[in-house]
Amino acid sequence: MKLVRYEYPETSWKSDFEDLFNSTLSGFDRWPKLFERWPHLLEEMPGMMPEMQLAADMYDDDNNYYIKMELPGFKKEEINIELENTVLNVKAERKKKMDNSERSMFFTRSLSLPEGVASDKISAKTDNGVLTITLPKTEQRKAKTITIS
Amino acid sequence: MTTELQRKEQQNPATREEQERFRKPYYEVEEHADAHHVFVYMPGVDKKATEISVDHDILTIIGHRTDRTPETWRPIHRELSDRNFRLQLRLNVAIDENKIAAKADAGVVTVTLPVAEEAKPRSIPVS
Repeated sequence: MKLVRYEYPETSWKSDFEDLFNSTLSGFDRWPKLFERWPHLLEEMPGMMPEMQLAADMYDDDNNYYIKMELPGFKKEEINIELENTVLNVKAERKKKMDNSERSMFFTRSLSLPEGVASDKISAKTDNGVLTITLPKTEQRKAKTITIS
Repeated sequence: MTTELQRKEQQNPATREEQERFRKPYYEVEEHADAHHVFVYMPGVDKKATEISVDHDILTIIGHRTDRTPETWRPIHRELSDRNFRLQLRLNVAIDENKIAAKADAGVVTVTLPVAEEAKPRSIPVS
């Protein structure tokens, strides 16, 4: 299984209050605040909306693997999950209407699945902006208890 | 969906800060003539777990994570933070605090801050 470690930058609670309206910033300039998590992207593409990597958690239990991602504000129609061989691609795109313009947010993440996933039984749900993908393990993959006779 | 907001003047945020560290959510602000809208992105927070308060000129939005990972799930790889969210904004525009409203949908809390009557733009006829 290949997953690239994502370093989550912790935001300090001690940060100063932000003004609701900062006179030097227009509404659009405020947008790059999203890049607090991806500060390098902002420098590379000021004012642009690049494709962003989604952070993901992976868990398992005896029967399934689980993948969790945060996609607040996305409707389920705006989230596209595709399985290509053993790679799971999650894409989320949302257009947001501003007063006289439209901008789109595009997030993506590809994950290599471990062996032994019943790929035809993958399911997904969203709850309060958290996407959970359930990947059932194939029978062979499940933990077995061997009794000593 | 609209939650009545309560002023929580008695609450002392300092003691909470000592107990808990927060993650600052991503947010957007939209300006309109009669109201400002703040969109706060707090995934994994149910609307019932959202607290909104105004203390003097500070608007505080706290979201407690309600998505619990079942105990039987074994972590293989973790990137997401479990922390609760907190956003504090200084209301540097005149807001009618008694009419602040909020709703939540899909992990996004929308706070509507009505512009105070005296701060609304007026046209002054030339006599």
